Formats: sequence, structure tokens, C-alpha cells
Amino acid sequence: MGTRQKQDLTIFNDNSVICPQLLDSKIFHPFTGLITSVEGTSPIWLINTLIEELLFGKCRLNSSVSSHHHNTSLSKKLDRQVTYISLSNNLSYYSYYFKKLTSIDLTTQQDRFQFINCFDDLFTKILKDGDISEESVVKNLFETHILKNIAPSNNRIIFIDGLEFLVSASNVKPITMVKFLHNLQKSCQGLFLISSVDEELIDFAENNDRLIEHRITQFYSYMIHKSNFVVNARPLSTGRADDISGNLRISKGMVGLDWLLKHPQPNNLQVLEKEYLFLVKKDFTVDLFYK
Amino acid sequence: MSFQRKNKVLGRPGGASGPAPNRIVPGRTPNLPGRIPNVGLVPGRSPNPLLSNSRAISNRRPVGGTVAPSHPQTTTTTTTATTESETIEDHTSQQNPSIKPSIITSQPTISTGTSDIDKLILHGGLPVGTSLLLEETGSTDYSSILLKFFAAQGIVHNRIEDPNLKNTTNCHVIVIGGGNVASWVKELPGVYKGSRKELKKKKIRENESKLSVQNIINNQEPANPTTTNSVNPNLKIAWRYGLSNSKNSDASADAKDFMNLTYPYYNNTFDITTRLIPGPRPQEITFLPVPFPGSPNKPEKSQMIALYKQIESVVKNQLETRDQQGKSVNNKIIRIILPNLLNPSTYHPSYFQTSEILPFLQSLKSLVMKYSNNLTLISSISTDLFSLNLDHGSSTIGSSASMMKTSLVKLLESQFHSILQLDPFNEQLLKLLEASYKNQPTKIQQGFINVAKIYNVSDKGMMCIKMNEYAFRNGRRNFEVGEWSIPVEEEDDGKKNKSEGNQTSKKNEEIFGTSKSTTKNIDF
Repeated sequence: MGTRQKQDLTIFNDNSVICPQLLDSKIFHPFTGLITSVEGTSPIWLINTLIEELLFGKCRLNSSVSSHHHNTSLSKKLDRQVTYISLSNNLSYYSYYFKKLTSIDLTTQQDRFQFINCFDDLFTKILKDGDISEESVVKNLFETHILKNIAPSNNRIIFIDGLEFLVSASNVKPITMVKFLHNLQKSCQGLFLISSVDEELIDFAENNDRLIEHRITQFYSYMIHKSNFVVNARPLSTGRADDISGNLRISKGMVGLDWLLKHPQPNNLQVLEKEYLFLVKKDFTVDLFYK
Repeated sequence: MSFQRKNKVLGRPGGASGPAPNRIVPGRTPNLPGRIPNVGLVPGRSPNPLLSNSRAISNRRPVGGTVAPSHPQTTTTTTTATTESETIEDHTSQQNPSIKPSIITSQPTISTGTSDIDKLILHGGLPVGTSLLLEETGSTDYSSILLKFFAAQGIVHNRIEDPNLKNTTNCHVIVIGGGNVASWVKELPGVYKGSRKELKKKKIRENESKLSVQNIINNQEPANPTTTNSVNPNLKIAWRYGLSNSKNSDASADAKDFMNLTYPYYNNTFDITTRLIPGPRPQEITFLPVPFPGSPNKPEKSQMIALYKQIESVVKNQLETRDQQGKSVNNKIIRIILPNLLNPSTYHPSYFQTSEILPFLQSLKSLVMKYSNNLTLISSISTDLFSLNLDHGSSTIGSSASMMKTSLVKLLESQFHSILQLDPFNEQLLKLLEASYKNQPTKIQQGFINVAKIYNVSDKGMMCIKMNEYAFRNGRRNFEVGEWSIPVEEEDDGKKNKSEGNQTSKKNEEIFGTSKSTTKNIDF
């Protein structure tokens, strides 16, 4: 595998990770991207790459970007803001890995990076006394803790990590979550949903809405129907290998990009469906190869 | 060249030429009249002034450390050693002696009480501020042994008798479980003291050191006081063959020895046939029972959240505890143990709902990460309790009931940083192993130990899922983990015919499935 040529990560047909046009609120409505993974193969390197791309316009993952270019791009301040909402980890977790990958401390980027911690004290302080009723989740978590802390901006991109946890840990219905996401989208230009999808949790044959599989499957169906593109990272189906960590698949979501256009005009922007093999090395550098 | 060889003394380290020093033979008096008195570095051995190459001896450390150094070179060595030991002392006195930096991230780690498990989770121990889940299939209870080792290790760390260590309360253990936890605590294993032979020898030595008329007579018996009775008698002959050098190798110790020297209290070996005596004191261990739903009227809507708050308050109290000198003991390690998670004998059926157990585990995970310098969590779960399909290896897809149970385990897994799976061998495989290792019973392993998730490594996205690569064996002395290899059945006599060989391969196919039957029978 070492002899194969390393490839750049591109999601759109203009060879970009995130197309600048898509971030223009005058041309497009807010987009939605879905990043899925399985337990044991975290896509933190991909999330960090996307954040880096959004904040600095370049990402270290792509081989065409030399360290010199990267450093110059740091001085170039893009007028973008990233808000990260997490139900699965705290800020120190993300900043640790972001620093490992990019050598940039996220905590120093307070003017451009906002972290909303929904992980610590979720069931003790945010949802007082462990009140997991739907009303409590909507009022205390969605409205008070998240939406009130985000100022609407056309330059904002929101990442939300681990929302599926609420489906199993609380009484909130999947459709209520979709409503919340719709409200969240009003305060940004782009939304990335990061979710862990394991085979054991999905059962399309299950109709009993009291069972957790049904609710989780329903939630994922809604997410796919809401997204414009899906990026899925999972380990090799053939088992562990020393020179490959997993498979990265980019596919179109259920909502076409042309649906997001504000004014009917010819636009060729498309999601490039393709598959990569990825290798995460010990020093946290990542190599991508076409499959 | 041949003349030189004749002068060489066999077995002398360094191969120094010259006349042989006084040899100590048991029953012979080494100091004969007219010989030089015995004032050498090695008791019972005199430095010969005729010795042309004195360097060989000057570089040696005094055995037993009773004789003052006479050479300046030796003095320098001793000073260096002292400086090193001072550094180690300072290091250990400043921080908890039960902590060692992780091999991967350099963050503090603690021993799980099983050195092979420490190695398996790659960090050299369990990183502080993280959690570990032990999943087990089948009706065995190996995970419970591992949890007891984990708890016992914490208790032993509290009993380190080292005057250089200021803090005596290095660890606290919190056990969360049902009514039988008190007996669980009483069954904590004791530290392994040695084999029966070693124990007998130790007993004899202890008896000899006691003040009794017989011992005094025995001690006075030797006519010459220069004999080496005071020194370890084993060294009488050992030094001649260079065996004692292994004890002197401090400066040239390899990395492993260095780690052992730097972190001497990091881990212990436990003996499951003995008990930890004295048992854990209330200051060392806290037992929190799983509440019965709806028993006391508490403000919390969930009883599991009420339990979490209890744990949180114990943690806060422990970290606020001050030592005898009134100093805050902030470097204390708290080991939280959740044995038999969701076992129906302990947990009410209502806790099996994801909306009950997940908030509890999520809060615990958050607590462990919050106190990332003090807390660790370990838990065990029997996955067979959540699967209706008892036939191993067959697919569970299609049965909604079994799917539901599996999804619960999957959701629980998401709340732990590292996951190990214990999968004991089935009867057929055990029989095959017993047949293969008839003459080597210590080689018989008892099950697979799979790696599903490793803290930091899995988080980076590196693939670390290792299935059926390692196997474990639970012995009296330790819990061994080794690489798994398919056993080759050894025949006692070479007259066994080919048909039996075919039967063996068929047996292998039944056990491992077609893909794994790589055993070949070779006819000689």
C-alpha cells in the first residue's frame, strides 16, 4: 500500500472538501452533511479536517497543501465561525486531537470556534434531576442550552455530535429531534451531523415503536432524508490490516444540491460519489487511497 | 596463546588473568596462616596484591553492601547510585507510587492488577480518567477475577511500607453492586508470595533468624569469623559462576529493569488461592448498593441518577480528604468498580431500559473524564444475558428479541473508552487442547480475549479490533494472556494411522469452522 499514490480528500465535483459556493448564503440554502461511523473506528480525523478546512480554507490532510501554505493560510482569517455541539465528549477531547492533527489549539480560536458542552452534567444539571421526558429535553437542552447560545449567522457552520444518544437515553421522539435540527439550521449556513451507526442498532423490519431499534432506525432514516451528502467511515469488512485502517465512502444524500439553490440558475455543483481506503498512522497522520 | 589460556581462571567474570583468588569451599577455612587477611570487597575473598588486573574487582559492587568502598572509582559509582536513588525518591514522593506514564500518550496510568492485561490495553496500564468494559460470553466468570485483581491492586497500593513516601492513602476503591458485594470484597486475592519451595525456604530462614538457644549455638559454631555465613549462603558458589552479577546490574539495567526500579510499586502479582489479609478497611473501600426502584422517596426521578450522585459525593469526599499532616491528598486514585453490570440478581428489570441505564453510565463517563487525574472505572457484563440465541457463532439476525438484547450491549459499549471481550473456549476445543498439551498442562489456554476498543487508539480512528488473536489462561499465580495458535495434536506413538489424523482435522473443522482449519497431519 505504501507504493500507491496518496490521494486528496474531495467531496464535491469542483475538487473541494467544502465548496465555497455552498457556504455562500446568497446562492444556497443551508446544507446538511451526515458523517457516520461505527464503534471502535472514530472519524475524529475527518471531523478535524472539516473544521480545519472551514476555519482556514485548507486542510493538512490533502497532499497538495504543504506546511508552508498551511501556515500562510492560518494568517488569512476567513470570515467563518464553527460551532461544535457535543453529547459524547468534552472540549479537551476535541482540542487534544485537533492539536495532534493540525498543531493548532482550538481553545485559542475563541472568536471563531464555539463549543457547546452537552456532555458534562447532562443528566444532573442540564436535565435537572435526570428528567428525561420529552418536554424537559426540548426546553432545557434544545432551547435553553443550545439554541439560546447560538447567535444566528450566515457564516456559521454547526457540527452536532452524538445526537442519536438522546433517542436511546431519553423519551424524546425522533421527529422532535428533526424539528430541533430544523430550528438549528436557521442559525447557520451548514450543518454536520456526526453519528455512530452500528449494524446491531438498525432493523428496518421492526415496527414496534416501543423498541429502541425502531426508534433508532427511524432517526437514521430521517437523517438520511435530510442530508445532502453522507460520509461513512468504517473498518475493513475483511478484518484488521496493518496497512489499512478502514473504508471511507462518500455518497449523495436524499436531498439534491440543486434543491438548495435560492434562485433557479444553472449550477453544476455535485457530490462526487466515491470510496477511499484510509490509513491512520501512529503519529495521527492520515493517508487516503482511491478504492 | 595456549600459555595464556592455562593461566586463565575459569568462570571469572571479565576473564582477568593472574593467580586465582582464595576460593571458598564449604567446610574449608579460607584464611590459612600466612595468608593475607580477608579485607576484600567480596566477603570471603581477599584482594590479592599480586593481581595484575585490579580493575575487574574494583568495578564490582560489594556484595551485601557491608564493606566500605576502598577505591575511589567505587566511591564514584556509589555516589552516582545515590543520586539516582534520590531522584527516584523525589519523584515517587511527589506523586502517587501507583502511577506510571502511558507508553502511548504519557498520561498517568494505573495497573489493572494483571500485568498481561496492562500490556494488552497498549498503554501499559489503564489510563487515569478512562474506563474499561470487560464483556464475557458463556456461563464462566473470569471477568470477576479480573475485577478482584483490580480492586486488590488498589488496596495493596495503600499498604506500601516505604518511609520515603509521604502519602499513605494512595488509592480508594468504590464498588457498586448488590447484596453479595460484601462477600465479593472478602474474596479479594492476596499478593503472591512465591512457590511452595520458596515459601518453605523463607520459613526456614525466618526460623533461623529467631533468637533461640539452638540458633545461637549454630551461629557460634564456625571457628573462623571470616566465613560468609552472614552473607546470603546462595552466593557462596554463585559468585564464582557469575550468577551473582544479575543482582549487581543496576547501572547496566535494561529498560524493563529501569521501569521496575522507577516504579517499584506499580503492580503486584496476586494469588487467587489466598485472601488479602487484613481485609480492606472502610477507609480503603466504599460499597454502594444498587437502589431498588421506588424504595426511598428521593427528589431524583431516576434511582440510577440518585446512585450516581452518591458516587459523585464519595469521590468529592475522598479527594477532599487530608493526610495526617493536613495536606490535601489530590493525587489519590479512585478505582470505581461496577461488577456484573445489569445482572438480574443485582439490577431490577426496570434498569434494563436504555433510558435508565444509559444516563447513569453517561454520567459516570463524564465524571471519570472530569476528574481525569484521579478516577478510573472498570465494569464487567455477561453478554449472554442479553442474547436469546445461545448457539455461539450462528447468526442472530432475524429475531427481533435477540436483536434488541444485542443493541442494548452495543449502546452500553459506547459509554466506555476501552473494551475487552472474554470468550471462553467451548468443550470441544478444550478437549482438543488437553489432548494436544498432555505433557504441558500450563500451555492449555481457556478462552479468547478479544480487543474491541482501546482508548486513544480507537479514538484516532486506527483499527485496533483484534478478534481471536489472543487467548487467556487463568492460573493460580496469574492471569496470563498469550498469542493464540491452533494446537497441533501430538500423538504418543508414531503408529497412529492416517484415519485418526483425518478425524483430528475433521474435529478441527467442527471447532474452528472451515476457514480456520489449518492444522496439517504429517506422516513420518
